Amino acid sequence: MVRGGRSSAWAALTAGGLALVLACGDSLQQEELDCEEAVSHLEHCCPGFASGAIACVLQSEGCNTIVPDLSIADSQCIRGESCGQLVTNGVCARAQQAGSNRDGGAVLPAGQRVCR
Amino acid sequence: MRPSAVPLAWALVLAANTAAADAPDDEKEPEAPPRAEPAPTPRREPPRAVTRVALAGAYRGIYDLSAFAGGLGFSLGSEATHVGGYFNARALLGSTLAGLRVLDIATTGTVEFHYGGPRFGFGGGIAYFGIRRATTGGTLASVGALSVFRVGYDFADAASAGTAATAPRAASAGREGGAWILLDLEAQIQFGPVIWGPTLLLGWRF
Repeated sequence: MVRGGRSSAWAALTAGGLALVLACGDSLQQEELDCEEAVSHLEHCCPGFASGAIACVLQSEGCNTIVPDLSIADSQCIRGESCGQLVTNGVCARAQQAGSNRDGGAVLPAGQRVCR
Repeated sequence: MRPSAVPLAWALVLAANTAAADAPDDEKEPEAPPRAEPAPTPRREPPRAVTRVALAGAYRGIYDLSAFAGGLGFSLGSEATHVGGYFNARALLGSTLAGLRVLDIATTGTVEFHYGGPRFGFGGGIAYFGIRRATTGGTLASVGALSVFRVGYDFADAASAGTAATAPRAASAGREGGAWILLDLEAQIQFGPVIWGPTLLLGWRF
């Protein structure tokens, strides 16, 4: 009886600890990670690229959802391009422009991809 | 017993002994066949305390990103003849292909089975995984559960197992320490993704 009670207590403690562990930290979302990886690539390839102007945050606040400046598709495309291609194809410039949208700067035409 | 019965009983005992001694061999009880000596059982070694240190290299997959990292590993445990239990800790520092810094720290408990040199085991624990943002310099970090399956080879144990047959005292040679190698296959259930990948550990056992 006592042993069964102890086992149950251990099981509950383990499950609780696991749940607590799994609830810790930031949510590692693919949108954010892909965006950050793409920005890092742009930083290395694009002269004068201001990475601080890009936001890679995915956040829901009520009805509003803030999405990263670079979509998953754009991010994957950027990571697949060489530095030369990013510059000559204008990806560096459009990516920088995408980051400026929030600040009232130049706006990319609706639906225009940063990387294509 | 009456006093007169004592000499009579004594005479009967003597007669019986004399008859048994004079009897031909075939009247004696057949001797039991010589028993085979039981095979000597291998001496069980008492559990040994083991400390291991290692250099580690790892690959990590997270969604469609890849990261490579290197670092240090440490284990503290106890091993009996064929099984052991370990507490392990390791820290890895590396980067993704595009250069995002990653930090992977884990503590695990493992059960390992070993037969001479080869060994395998499994276990679980807790892992921290952090990625430095390129945009802000902040860190995206998560702590989650980790499961591990490991295979390895202990060169000192292999050497002692190989010489034990010809030199029994060498059976304990593996206790003196030596080089070992482990390959861990890990899966971390983090807050969002499953981060997976192999970790190769090369080290020394004390």
